[in-house]
Amino acid sequence: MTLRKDAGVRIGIDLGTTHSLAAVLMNGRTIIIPNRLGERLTPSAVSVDTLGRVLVGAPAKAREVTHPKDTVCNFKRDMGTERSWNVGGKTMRPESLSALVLSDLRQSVEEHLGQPVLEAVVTVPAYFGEDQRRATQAACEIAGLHVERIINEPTAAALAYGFGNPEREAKLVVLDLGGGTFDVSVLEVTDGIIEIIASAGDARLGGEDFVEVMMERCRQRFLASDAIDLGAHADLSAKLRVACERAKRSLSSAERASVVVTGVGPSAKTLTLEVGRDEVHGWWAPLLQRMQTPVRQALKDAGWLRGAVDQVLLVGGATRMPIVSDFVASVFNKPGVRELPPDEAIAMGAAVQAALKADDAQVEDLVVTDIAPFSLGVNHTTEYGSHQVGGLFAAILERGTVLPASRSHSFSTLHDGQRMVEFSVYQGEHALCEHNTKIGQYTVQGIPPSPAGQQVLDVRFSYDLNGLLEIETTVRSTGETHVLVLDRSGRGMSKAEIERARTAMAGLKFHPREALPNVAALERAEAMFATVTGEPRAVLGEVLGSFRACLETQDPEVIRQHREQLLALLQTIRQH
Amino acid sequence: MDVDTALGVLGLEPDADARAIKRAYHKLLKRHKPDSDPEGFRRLREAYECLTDDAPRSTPPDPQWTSPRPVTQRTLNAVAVHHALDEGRFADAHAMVIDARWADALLDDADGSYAEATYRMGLAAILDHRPAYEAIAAAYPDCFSPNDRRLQVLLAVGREWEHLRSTARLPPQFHAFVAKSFIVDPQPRIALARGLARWFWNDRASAMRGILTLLTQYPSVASVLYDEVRALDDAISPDMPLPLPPQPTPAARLRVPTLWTPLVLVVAALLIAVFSEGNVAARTFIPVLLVGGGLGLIGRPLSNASFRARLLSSCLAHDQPPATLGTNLGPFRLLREGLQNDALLEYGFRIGRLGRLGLDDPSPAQETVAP
Repeated sequence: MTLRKDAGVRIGIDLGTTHSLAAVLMNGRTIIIPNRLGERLTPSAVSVDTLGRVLVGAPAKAREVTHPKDTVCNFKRDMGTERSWNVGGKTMRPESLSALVLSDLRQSVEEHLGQPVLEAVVTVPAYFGEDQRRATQAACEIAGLHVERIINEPTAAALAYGFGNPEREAKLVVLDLGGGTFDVSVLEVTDGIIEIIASAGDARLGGEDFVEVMMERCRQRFLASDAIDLGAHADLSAKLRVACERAKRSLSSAERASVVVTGVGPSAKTLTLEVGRDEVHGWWAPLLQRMQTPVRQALKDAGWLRGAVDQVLLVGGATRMPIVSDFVASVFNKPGVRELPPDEAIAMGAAVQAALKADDAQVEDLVVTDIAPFSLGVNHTTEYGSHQVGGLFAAILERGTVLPASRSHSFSTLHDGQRMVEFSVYQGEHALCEHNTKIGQYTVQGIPPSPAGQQVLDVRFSYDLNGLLEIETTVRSTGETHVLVLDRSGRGMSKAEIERARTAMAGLKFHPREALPNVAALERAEAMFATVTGEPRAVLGEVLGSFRACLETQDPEVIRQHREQLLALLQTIRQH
Repeated sequence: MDVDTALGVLGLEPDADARAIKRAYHKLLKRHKPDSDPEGFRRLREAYECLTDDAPRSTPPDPQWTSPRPVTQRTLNAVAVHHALDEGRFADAHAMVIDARWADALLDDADGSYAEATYRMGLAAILDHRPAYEAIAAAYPDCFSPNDRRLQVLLAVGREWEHLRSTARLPPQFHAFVAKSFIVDPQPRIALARGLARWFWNDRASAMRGILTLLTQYPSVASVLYDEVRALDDAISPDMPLPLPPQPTPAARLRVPTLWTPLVLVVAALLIAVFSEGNVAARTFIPVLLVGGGLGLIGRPLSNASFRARLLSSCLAHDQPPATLGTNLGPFRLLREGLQNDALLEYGFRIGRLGRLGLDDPSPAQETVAP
């Protein structure tokens, strides 16, 4: 079946910490859709220029160095929190910022394919809790995207893998180390059937943490050697970040790299620090320690021993670091496999999921079963000996349950003559409710008064793939039923808040999309100019000046030529 | 869903093995995808879980670490952990288990599940004076699913144990006994009783009071404890799960301090010394009295039967008559103890033991009337 022109497309979106991208399944292949600049990855960055116009993607990312105060990156890490940023005089929550990225992706897709986006499947880290998933859903709503399904990133990666290897039978572990999150999923692939068996992760561990550790160490070094605190100013620390990112990347291939920070202080000093791979790996050891925990837990949940794993699939840009490969080899005794492009696998899988959801014939033979990443349950009190232990968490739908699923649990009254029961609904793994996340509450009334323990209530949790939780409570003696439905859209930001955010977004001024390649080239050149020294800087300054001048001419052909010249120069400088 | 329905859903014969079940499940999965047919999938999954929960995971592993098993490095590791626990080196054992290799070893050993191994370690940690919550939360947050009954028992045992330790002063060796018992049999009531029984067996004099104090806190333990003590007394069965401590000397076994008898002996010795005026017979008699009094001051012999009778009284006082209660108590012992305890006396009559002495039941037969 080919897509009908009038119907529009169903896409998969990987909304990442550092990069986002969109993919679509067409003619039996997953295609990554390039953005306006012709690039496959769109940085998850938002910036506001001096005229109050909003920039999204590569030009915004480039402004992180030149205008750190007007630029926001890594906001995915604060999804589901109350945090907000003041960007160029506008207060924005992570939902709104994500919405800007999402709608930018959507525009790219619509421009590229010439069809409207009907529906999208968006990915989140498997270890995202309900709050973070709600925030993601809210972001989609603000962006005006029709999103019913939010899937887990490692599941998406597994889908992409299963789609590409329909015949294979294997026990897999997917390690997904993205910019800001780390996920581990344990799964079995049999003949096109992908069964997620267990997943675990750390929602606050990713490539960015490696950079941050490096920044902190370098800051201390510079403080000791040059008596300059690079953490003192936002723009210096942005420069340090870029320098560390660059050094981290070159350490993937070279044994040594240098961290170069230019334009420090009034005299525009250049600071240089030489770091060796072994030394930096030493700095990162605690992060690897943290990576062990989810790996161990996922295997434990699955009941597998490490030796049982046939293949370890590496996904996420940060798995390119040699230290991660070493980690995988030491844990599993076999090298990790990058069968799919690590940056793109998740978006590809999301596109496959979008097709699956629409019952597309291209994916007829593919099935995926996913699991609940967290346990869902209610509070209860238990009696042990002479003590009453309250505030305990009774998981009704346990983590690892294959979804959609329905599970029930019975509770009895605690006091003589008890007429009502208050249930609080929690999500989490701790035995005590106070350490879990509360996602709702309800009261069941009209229980016939009886001695303690005589009245029994059956609580049934039904959880579906779209995150819809239906709680049905039945008083056994009367047969009376109380139903509570918790869905993602009704929680977190309220409808009114989302509507307000949508209006606010509609009121934003954007850079005209036609001018985007020019703006991006300009911002990138500016960022490069701020971080290089010597002769390249002088040359770049000249070319940059002439590019600016030719932008005034408004002759598209001349501008294009100059732009390409500038980009070629940037490429040359970057390679040296 | 019952097995027959499940077999019907999957289209299988009752003799289908795990492989056939999985194959049938996979085949039907393509027809009932979770995306397009959630209801169908749910039913299919339920059927599959119903069958697989019974089929491949049903062989009960042997929880005893003494069971014959080929000796591997992992077995040795497990033994090392147990050894550390035996010797009361809880911190060491704890550290070993935190290390993944040792956890794997315990995994082999304890029921094949981390949760089980961790549960036992959790108990050990609690008994090692770690505050219960802290111990569990810090070391084992990810080992349990939250409504695992064992975790709740852990929490409850933790609280009970804190309570106990604050009210009854117990010697450190008792901790070791109970900890070890918990590890072998994670049912708290039985474990506690076993620990107490072993403590009793090892050092009766010190155990007596501790046990009697404990029984007021833990009435439900009494009946198990009674059986345990009996089992230890009657015969040391060869399949007893715990290595027994060395047999104590008879004198050490049966002493409990009292005041009156030795005082009378010592006073008598002093009186004879004052009034005998060098009488030869008296001179030989005095040291005997003094030694007897001295020994008595250390402790009055108490027989097993008498201790059992006290246990029995305690059980009765808390309305927890054990299954085999009183069958090996002699009628005279029962009578003597019963004279100080009406419940025991009444019980003696009820089981017909005192009747054999030709005594009449003083309490008239009662008709039970429903309130």
